[in-house]
Amino acid sequence: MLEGKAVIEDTDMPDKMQIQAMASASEALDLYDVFDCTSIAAHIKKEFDTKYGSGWQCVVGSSFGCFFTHSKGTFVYFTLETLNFLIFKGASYLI
Amino acid sequence: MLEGKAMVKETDMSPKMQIHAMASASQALDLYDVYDCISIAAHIKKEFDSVYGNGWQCVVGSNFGCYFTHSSGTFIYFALETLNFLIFKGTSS
Repeated sequence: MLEGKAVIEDTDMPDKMQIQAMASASEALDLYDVFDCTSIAAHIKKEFDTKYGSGWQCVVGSSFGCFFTHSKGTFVYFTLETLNFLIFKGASYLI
Repeated sequence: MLEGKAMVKETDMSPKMQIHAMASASQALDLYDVYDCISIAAHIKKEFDSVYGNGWQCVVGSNFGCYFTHSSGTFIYFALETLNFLIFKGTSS
């Protein structure tokens, strides 16, 4: 499974969900080439939509910056191999 | 203002909103260094939250891929200078 150890940069997710995020990322890297960021992001987002309800967003890449509002307890940013992964559930209202 | 011509790659936004998106991006590039992607994204997202209501997301960078669900009529992806910009209003429903 995990070829390399994932490093969590920042998160407010519960531990179990974090593990799911990293497992999904690792699984996606087995399925797709490291340059196919969109397919990798799609794989992770679809899995999270299925397990935790719709509305998830996923950004994958080696060079990007984001600014976003997310639902509470649904944010993780981590590094795995050469890529950075950002997963969050978007919020359209401020709690 | 617009140092270079912005090139819209894909969108379902109204033309007026598109122009606003590119103007915000250009304004952000005047204010921040081209390497400071987060500040650039923050500037654009905050402006869109103010003008069009909360819930906007913005990704800026030279190398990234995304997969997301967005509200209807609120998505634009364009290139300006060396950066790519993705702006959309997320949906949590």
